Amino acid sequence: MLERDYKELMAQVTPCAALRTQTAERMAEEERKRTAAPRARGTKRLAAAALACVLVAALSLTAVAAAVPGFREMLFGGGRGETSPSTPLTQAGAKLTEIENAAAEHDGFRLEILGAAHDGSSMMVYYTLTDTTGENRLNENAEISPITGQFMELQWNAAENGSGEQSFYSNDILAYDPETGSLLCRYVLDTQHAKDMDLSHTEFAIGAIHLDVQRINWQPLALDESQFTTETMELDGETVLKPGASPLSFDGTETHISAIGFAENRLHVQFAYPENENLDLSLQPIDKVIAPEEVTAAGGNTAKFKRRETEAWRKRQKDGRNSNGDQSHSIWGKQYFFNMENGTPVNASDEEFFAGSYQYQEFEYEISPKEMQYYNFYYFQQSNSGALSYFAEGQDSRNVSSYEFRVSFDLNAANRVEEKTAESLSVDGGTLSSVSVNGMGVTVKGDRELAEKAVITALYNGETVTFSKTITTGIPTSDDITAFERYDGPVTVRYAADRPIDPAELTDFTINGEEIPLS
Amino acid sequence: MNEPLEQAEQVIGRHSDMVYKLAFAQLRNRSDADDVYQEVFLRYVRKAPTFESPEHEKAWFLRVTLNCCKKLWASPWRRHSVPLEESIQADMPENHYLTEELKKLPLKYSAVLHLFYWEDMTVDEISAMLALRPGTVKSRLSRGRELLRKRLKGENDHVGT
Repeated sequence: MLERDYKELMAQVTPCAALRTQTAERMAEEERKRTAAPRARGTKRLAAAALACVLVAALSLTAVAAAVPGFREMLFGGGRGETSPSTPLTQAGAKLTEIENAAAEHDGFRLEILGAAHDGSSMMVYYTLTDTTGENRLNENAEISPITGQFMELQWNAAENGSGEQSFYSNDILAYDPETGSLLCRYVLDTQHAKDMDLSHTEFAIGAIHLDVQRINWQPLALDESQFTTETMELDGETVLKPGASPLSFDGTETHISAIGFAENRLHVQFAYPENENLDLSLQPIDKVIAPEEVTAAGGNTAKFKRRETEAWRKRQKDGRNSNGDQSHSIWGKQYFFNMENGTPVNASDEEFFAGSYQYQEFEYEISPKEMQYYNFYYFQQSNSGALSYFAEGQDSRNVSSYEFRVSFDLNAANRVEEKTAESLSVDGGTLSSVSVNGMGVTVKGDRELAEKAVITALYNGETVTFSKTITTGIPTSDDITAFERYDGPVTVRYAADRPIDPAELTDFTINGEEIPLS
Repeated sequence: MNEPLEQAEQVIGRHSDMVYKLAFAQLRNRSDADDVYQEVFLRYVRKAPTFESPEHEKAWFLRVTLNCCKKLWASPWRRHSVPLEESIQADMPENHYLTEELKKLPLKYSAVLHLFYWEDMTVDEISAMLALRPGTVKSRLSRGRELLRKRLKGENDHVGT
């Protein structure tokens, strides 16, 4: 029965004619290019271009190096800057090694590696990214996606194993210097799942830069039913709302909700996106008995929260309608994407073009007028002013050298790992199975709730050091854990110190206010 | 005469549905499936592979489709910016009872189930295709089916109460 039904379902999934046509045209164009450009000639031209780039880069790197702010000095001190910390890392004996002469420039950005280390199961890289164009494209709201060879290997292993949800790395922006347009960043990669991974050398690439990312997390949104429209249109046999005067606008953006109303007894909400903005809006209906802080994830048409029956859930069961299970709250419906051309809606699912001032996205929720009483509505917005990707088209995606903006360097091992075992680590009513400290920071193992919320402090040469969480690993992707559930079992959580530390000099080490003796 | 276009249309004609359905089964939304579909056929042109047999050609397209899907899943920006929950808001045929349950099925089962059910491949063929031991393929098939059945049963129980 399952096989028959699967085939019945899949029979409905076919590529649209426009996709087939467009793909054939792109293939033909690619084939013409391929046969028109002999490989040897192309290679020679590329080599010449590369040489020119190297020369230009060498000249500009020299010029820019002098302008880079004192981030290197902040980290490593050594008397070369005015902002050196009280105990420069290199003098403290920890092995977070200062790295010199590892820099690259691409697309008007300069990448410079300042320091790096590994401890056998994780690696840490401090680097700066500078906009050399003077256009100030970077700020503290940028999001950088670095790629390393080790990360690629981990990702592909995870993909081969069928798991898709481990997070292996974190990338934090630690400081921004507006005068030079520079960011100081820290990259941490957890490699404990890979045995015998070579951490002595890495290729480090900037995979993507997302400029000026702005987010407004879930905020309540009052829907005034007096503004609901009853005007509808037909789009490929479906009913959508007629874009009207904006019933709901948001500060600082032209993106807005252009229409809300009911069609065929279902709630429709229509978003209008102007061509010149890069902003996404989401609306989430959430059952009134669920407090926003109980929602563990939300997006599209579904919110997740811990197992709990809700008024809307009970109502839906009573009505004999499908629910998406009692650990998630699914208001499943449809979504439509269209342009308006001469007063008529035209499906825009397959083509990305603007025919008018706005493009429209309409969500249809399985909520009737009578059921509105059960829901509160929340909105989320995210924008960026541009996303720059440095993956070279057509290259092997398994290889970090496929990224155009990269540098390679050696990592020395951080030493002096201090470790305590489970018996002595009862903290805050729970138990941590281990805590280890080295020059890169603190690694805590234990149940997720305790391990992820650990407040760690210590004294280092008389000054208070604080630690911030970077990565959680160890969340299984077993049969019973899906995106719809939260795992609360044992995990490994890494915390980075707010400065380079020598663990031998650390005193008064506490977790959640309780002193932990280090030996 | 537009020979490259005709050749492209012939290749697409042979593998279009197979590539698209597999991409869709893996990625669970049309937008991503569209991207992978184009990427697979463009790779065919760029690599210009030669095939020993129609089976070899079919296996190449299936393998490349799976690789492209993995590449999309592994994309750093996707992993960082799109919550998994959001990425599985598929626009699969909504009226089918299997739709919701397939979206919740861990990815490692969906590839095996799709190749077995839709492509009618044997365990040994899937084993060769995915570089997995036959025992692993069998257990994933069995576990995937069991998961689906269990969830479907649970769903029916809810509706009936």
